[in-house]
Amino acid sequence: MSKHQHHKKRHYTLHYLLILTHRWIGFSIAIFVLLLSITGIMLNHTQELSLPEHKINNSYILSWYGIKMPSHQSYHQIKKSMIVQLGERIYFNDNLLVKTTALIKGVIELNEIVVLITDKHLYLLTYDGELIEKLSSESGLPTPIEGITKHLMPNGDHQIFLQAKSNWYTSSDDFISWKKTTIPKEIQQITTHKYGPDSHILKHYQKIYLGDSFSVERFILDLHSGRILTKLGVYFMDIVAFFMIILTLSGSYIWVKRTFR
Amino acid sequence: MSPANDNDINSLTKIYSEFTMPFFLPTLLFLIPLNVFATSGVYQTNHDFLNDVFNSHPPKPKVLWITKNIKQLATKILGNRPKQLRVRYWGNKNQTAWILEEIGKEKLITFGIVIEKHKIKSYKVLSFKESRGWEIVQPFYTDQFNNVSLLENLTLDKSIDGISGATLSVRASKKMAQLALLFNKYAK
Repeated sequence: MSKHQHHKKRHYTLHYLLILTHRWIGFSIAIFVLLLSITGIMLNHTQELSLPEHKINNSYILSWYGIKMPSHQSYHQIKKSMIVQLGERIYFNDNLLVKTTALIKGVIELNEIVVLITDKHLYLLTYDGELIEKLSSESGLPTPIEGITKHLMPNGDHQIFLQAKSNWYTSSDDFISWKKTTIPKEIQQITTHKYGPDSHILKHYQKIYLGDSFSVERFILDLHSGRILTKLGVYFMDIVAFFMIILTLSGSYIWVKRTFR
Repeated sequence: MSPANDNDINSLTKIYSEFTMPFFLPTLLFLIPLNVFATSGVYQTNHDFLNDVFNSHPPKPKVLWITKNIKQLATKILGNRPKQLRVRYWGNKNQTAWILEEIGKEKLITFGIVIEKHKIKSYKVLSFKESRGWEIVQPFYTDQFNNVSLLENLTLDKSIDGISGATLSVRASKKMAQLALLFNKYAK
């Protein structure tokens, strides 16, 4: 074979290999390119599609992410309202009131106000669950709080007593300030309004909790980046991206060769 | 000029290790804690802030109830409904001190604002927990709020220069200034 024929054969083989590579890579990653394109378009319009507001409810996806009902759950009933703590979330009826690592230590109602305590905070709420004020040690609240109780005074009014630092405290000015007091042993009982929920309520709050945990935006982002399959998924998407680069380069080369042959 | 020889290099090394390093290392170590402190944390407790404002004799706090009218105006400033139905303040008709909190990007920033004759007398960041944007703690930023008042359209009567990279913290600080001035109008 002459030198010219040898070069022509090599050139033909390289070209043919490139076409084959381009074809097979294109075929192999087609579905992933489709996925990246669709999720990319969705993420470009995340606000218009309200992706952060929509939550994932699918049990398979939630269990894949390890999202399940927390072990700590407490249910309290005040009149017709429910105050429920599920892990770090405290709900007033169906509305998320606060996220906190602290546990509810007591719930009491007084003069159309609901008082909810954790060890560091006291929440004053309306019967509709609107927050009136959140008190802490910075606002003069004695902490750590141990409990709360209510007692009918001789004047016919109910008075709230807060147990903190092994002392009892009361407030006579709408919870603005607190002063130490003594109360008889017989009324030193902590009030929690704890409630043993039936299966209907359990299911209801399970739906609320799980439905609140995980946005569609997060899911789309993880699909797009490959993070849905943890680090391996990310590396896999990196490989797909690398193949897309090869596809672009090989495609450009093939086109140039064909056009300027 | 002859090229450096081993003796020259040794002399330079000696100068560097004996004179420069003793000053350099402690300076670096001193600066590191300051830098960490400057980024996030509690700069002044509410208690100390009030003591500063009222010469160690802060008055008993009062409460301002967020009525429907105030709620509407506060919503315009915040872009969302106020989180609480009542707000504490200290002082009287002439001078009031407000401690307000707002989220910057993800964490709460606590602001201490003193208002006299409907103008901001002093403005401080009491605590800052975000990972960036801490520059708003510095006097070069907070001093801009001195003598600022609220216009009828609920904006500040003076432009506040922002800080690059601290957009959300700056936004929160402006909102709290507007809110404090609004609340002050209704305080008794």
